[in-house]
Amino acid sequence: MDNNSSAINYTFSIEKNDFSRAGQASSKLKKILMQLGIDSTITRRAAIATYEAEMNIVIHSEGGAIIMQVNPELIAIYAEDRGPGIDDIELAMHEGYSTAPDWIREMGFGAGMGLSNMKRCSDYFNIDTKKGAYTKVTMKFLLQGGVVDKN
Amino acid sequence: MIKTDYSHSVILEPSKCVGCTYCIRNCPTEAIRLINGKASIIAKKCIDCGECIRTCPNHAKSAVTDSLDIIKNFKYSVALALPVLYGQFKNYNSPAMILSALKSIGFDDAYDTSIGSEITGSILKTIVKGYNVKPVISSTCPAILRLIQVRFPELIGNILDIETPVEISARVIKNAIAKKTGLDISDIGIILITPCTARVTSIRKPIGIDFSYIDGAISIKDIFGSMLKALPNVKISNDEVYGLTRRNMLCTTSGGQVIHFENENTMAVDGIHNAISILEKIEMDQLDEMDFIEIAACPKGCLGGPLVVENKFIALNKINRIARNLPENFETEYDTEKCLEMYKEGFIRLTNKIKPMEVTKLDPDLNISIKKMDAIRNLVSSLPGIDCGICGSPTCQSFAEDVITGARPNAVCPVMNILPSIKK
Repeated sequence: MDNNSSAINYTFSIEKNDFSRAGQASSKLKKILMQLGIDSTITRRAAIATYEAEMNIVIHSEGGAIIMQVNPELIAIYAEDRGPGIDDIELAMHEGYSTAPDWIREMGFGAGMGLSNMKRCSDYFNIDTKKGAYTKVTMKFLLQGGVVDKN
Repeated sequence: MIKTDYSHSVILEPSKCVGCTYCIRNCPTEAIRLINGKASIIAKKCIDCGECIRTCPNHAKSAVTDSLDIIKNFKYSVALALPVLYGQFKNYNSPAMILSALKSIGFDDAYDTSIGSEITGSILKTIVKGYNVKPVISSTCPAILRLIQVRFPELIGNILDIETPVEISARVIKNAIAKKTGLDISDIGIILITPCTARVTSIRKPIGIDFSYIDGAISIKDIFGSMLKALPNVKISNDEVYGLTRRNMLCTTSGGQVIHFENENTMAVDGIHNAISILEKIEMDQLDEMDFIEIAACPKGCLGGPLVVENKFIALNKINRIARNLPENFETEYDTEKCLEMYKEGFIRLTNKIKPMEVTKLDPDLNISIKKMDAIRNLVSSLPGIDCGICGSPTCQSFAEDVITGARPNAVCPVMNILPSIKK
């Protein structure tokens, strides 16, 4: 990125089991991206992916945060939680696979589409997890044909 | 028709505005500011929903509509009423009498929108089935169409492309009268008796079509008094209204379109703020199991329009009571096959592409947008965060946006100085 380029960061903290506020981060993120003038289709993809990440933190984790960085090349979204981590990432990525308990499924969540949906929406997707410690999801959305920095 | 360059129907009468903050804080698109102590509408953000007319305690907000004098412009004038009108008169239950009252105050003829409802209703299910995106969103409420243009551009493809019952009625009636009387189309004036501000704007600046067949609009509020005076002397020989069936009577109430479906997954939403939360869910792919969603900006649908007289609950009660005695069906040449043909030909269809309107974009250059956004955030963090509206912007966030974007560069926060303790 050249020195004249600007960038902006946002952090949204997400509480465990807080269904009443679930969806707020993705909704705010969408509003910000619209104001920035990001293409509406990219905005929508980023908002949907963020919603999935937000719900995963609410449903499965001990709480965490969603961090968004925007610069003229790309939107980066980091969803990080404080555990418990994922046992088998490959299995978790599988469409329809879910570890959500029955009461969550009864609310219409936890269909096992979250991670695969995030991957589908984003231009770059990575998941890093440590059992008993954290899960970190990184998603990138390219703007104006920028190149994803895989680091 | 309406004599100003300003394209919106909602306007402010400055002498009545006391500079309170009701309207600016209730506006769903944050389109109102207080400038020098008076409310002022930002034209590009206004969707004409009329929420401010409803909210203003001083009745300073109103709508630019036509007066009855407009009928003098035409050789043959036709009043076109929504069934909403039948719910306005406490002591009169006869739709035929109410239409006759319109004739007795000067119109050559009077119809309601039954024919348009009938035509839309007969093809609704078939057309919705053919859509690739889900859910299909009804096109009847013009305020919702504008809301989608300014806030949900990604959902433009979900909008049903059948014309509204009001516009279809105008087209069919105008052509029929031209044929019957031998008059030229331009000699016939269709004047809508309207409960709706957004519809008035759509007559001047239609969405999805080149021009409207409706030539003017008189608000129900404005015409109510003269109709009330005329009604006791109205004599009718036949109590039937052409095409007015139970379903067509309910067409302009919330839920009036979903009754045309059977096993499909449908929903009716009303009220502008409810509409926004549902549109957000649709945009997030959370309602893609639904086939059709009917959305009205006004509570209870058009019955709750900003230009009605009667309370919407009372009007609904009356509409339902009248509907009970109406027939299920009527003999019509407009069968499903013919209506589908009209749809294919484009006669009852939104033939023009609906375009998104980017009204919140900070700058065309993303680099500059980001810098402005950062400045806005810094400013917001120094504000009280109580969204009182006293500065003239609806929220602390919008105050910061107005200052940074230069819309109101000299605006000040009056609260920060008097109440430093609530500063974050």
